[in-house]
Amino acid sequence: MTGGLVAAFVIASVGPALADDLDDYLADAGEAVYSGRRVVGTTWDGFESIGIVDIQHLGGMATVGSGSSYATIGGGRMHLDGPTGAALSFIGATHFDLDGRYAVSQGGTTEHLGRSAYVLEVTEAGFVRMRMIVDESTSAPLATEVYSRDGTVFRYSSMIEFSVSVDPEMALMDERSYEMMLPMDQAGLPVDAAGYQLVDVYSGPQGANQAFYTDGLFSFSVFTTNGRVNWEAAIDDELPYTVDGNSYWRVINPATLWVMWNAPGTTIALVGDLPPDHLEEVLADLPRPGRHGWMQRMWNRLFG
Amino acid sequence: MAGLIFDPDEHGELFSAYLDGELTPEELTVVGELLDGDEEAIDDFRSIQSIRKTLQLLPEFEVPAALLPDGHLGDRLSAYLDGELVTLEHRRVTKHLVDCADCRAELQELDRARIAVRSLPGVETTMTSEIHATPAPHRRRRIVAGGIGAAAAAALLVGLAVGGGDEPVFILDDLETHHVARASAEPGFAVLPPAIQVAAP
Repeated sequence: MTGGLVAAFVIASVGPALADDLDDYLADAGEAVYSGRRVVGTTWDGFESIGIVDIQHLGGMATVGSGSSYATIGGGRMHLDGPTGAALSFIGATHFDLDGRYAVSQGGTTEHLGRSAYVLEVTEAGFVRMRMIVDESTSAPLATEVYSRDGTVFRYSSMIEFSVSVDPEMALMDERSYEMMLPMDQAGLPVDAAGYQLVDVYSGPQGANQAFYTDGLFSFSVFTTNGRVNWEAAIDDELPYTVDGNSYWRVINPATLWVMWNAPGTTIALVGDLPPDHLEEVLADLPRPGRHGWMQRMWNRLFG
Repeated sequence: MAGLIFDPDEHGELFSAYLDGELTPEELTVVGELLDGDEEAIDDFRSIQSIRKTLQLLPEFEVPAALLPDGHLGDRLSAYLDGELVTLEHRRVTKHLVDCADCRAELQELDRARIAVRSLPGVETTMTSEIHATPAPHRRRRIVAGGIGAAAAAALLVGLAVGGGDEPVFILDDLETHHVARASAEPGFAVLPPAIQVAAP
């Protein structure tokens, strides 16, 4: 980003502080100080999307990007550098009881990139949902695997270069004016979708509403706007996707999924990082695809 | 170490500010040197880290409106916008903003005023803009609602900004930006990598 990292400091001598639970680990990881290069990929139904980003992490903020295009993200704030230059700040933060859905256990010690590390396994209803290799010194996530319910790896990320040095200019990254995104009162969407809570609703971009859902670990936003989009004609890298007999379009990115559809009178796009089995359950709780709204609603109401 | 001697009173404040991400580059360097082998400094750092973690776990109690000057946020709104509020205070103000339309409106006004001041000639630009002075091309996927026909749809495939009228428009990259920004306030964001501006290898 500025022609190479400037070694600001080293905290490797601060010894390991193993997390007792997932909340503890997430708090430690949020404060970790590190930089490097990370490969990120998502594999789903035989399709794969992979990317590589440079990352610097300090004070709860991460600067990520590649080439000369970067985003600085953290604490509900983000600014992009590049043609858009957007700077957004969201008022809202959730403090979930992660133990309600997930349990965490230590899976032993290991090495990654020559660094001492330990393994954390996050389980959901008895199966491993996520496996993390955590740097012992900094608590930084060196590698992460997210599993589908069928046991296949759905998303992975791995540091391929790692340093405990960061660019000192990171301390000044957050000095910027942000467009404040303020919560609205209603979304017209369910307050619970397959265990994901509707946390808050915002007036989103292009006049859409943004409803933000999370279960504390994964999250997604549902964007809704009036009108219909011919998704098949409009985008070039979408894939058809059928859930429970309903047709959707999806785009697979290295770290997120987009699912788009038209409900009666409404265009909907879901953007998030949730695994496929969660996604299917969530879609079942959201407005279904359809054109003849009242007939479908009546049918569903009468016959389920 | 270059002769830097740990002083609990002086450097404890630095450690606390470090954990809140509030240090200047110079202060950051000092913290780095202290943590690079000074056992007493490392012990003190761990202690502050542990206390901070414990404080964050304490239950929050509602402050009765009667105990606040006028029940609203007042000067704390400026501090909030300037990123000067930390931990519990930040969360309290955030919670109040979610519930209080008056304070939200005042915050918007303050933010507009702040942007206006910064746009005046002669006002210093931030270090951020200096660091990222070179924009890079970024593909934007723009989706326009039905009725625009195949020609417009073909234009969308190459990322042209067309469409308009009363038809709703979705720019999917913008949706992702908004989602990731909001998600970054959540604890799970610490382990799930951000998605913005990922380039194919």
